[in-house]
Amino acid sequence: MEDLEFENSLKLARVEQGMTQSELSELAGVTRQTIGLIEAGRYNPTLKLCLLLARITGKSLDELFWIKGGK
Amino acid sequence: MLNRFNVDERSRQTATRTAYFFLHITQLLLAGVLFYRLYVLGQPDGELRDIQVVLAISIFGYMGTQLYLGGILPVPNLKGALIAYGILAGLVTGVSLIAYGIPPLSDWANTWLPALLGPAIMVGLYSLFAWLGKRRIERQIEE
Repeated sequence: MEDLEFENSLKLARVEQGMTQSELSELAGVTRQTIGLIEAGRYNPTLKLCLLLARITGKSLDELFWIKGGK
Repeated sequence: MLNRFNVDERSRQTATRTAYFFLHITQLLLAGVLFYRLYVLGQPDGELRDIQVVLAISIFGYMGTQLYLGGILPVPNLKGALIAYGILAGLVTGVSLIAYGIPPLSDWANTWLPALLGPAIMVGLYSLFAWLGKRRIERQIEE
């Protein structure tokens, strides 16, 4: 399988909602470090968590996560 | 998703990777200990039975579970299983004959029997786990 790189706009979406990493992590049920790593592009979340984060931030999945160079 | 131990999907993934890495390190070290005690210290085979059993459970338990949960390895038909058995048994018997010479027939239970039965058990268990794993995945797809 092709080694795809992912990008996301989670930080932007979170700031738009006026949330801190801690608040978002509590709502999503993950650690603050996990949110930080996702925002930094250092961790690829599962589809389940992606959908949850999209729901919390009020974005669609493809607004929040996309393949690098493919948006 | 987050429990009182602060375990989320990322920490579970990290724990899985760490466990995977150290499982193989442990298996390799155990095999090293086994060879060292057997061939360097010259300890008799019977004294190493405990390590051999632990190592066998670890390796075959791991491979069996992988086969079962993966469900993608080919399930051999009778001809394929017989060919695999022939190759394995030939290899074990050949190496043993070269290393130890022809054993006395009276000691067949400790020589010929494990050399011929061991590969049969291995091929049989492989086929069973591969078949069970394939059936499990196909049932999940049908549901």
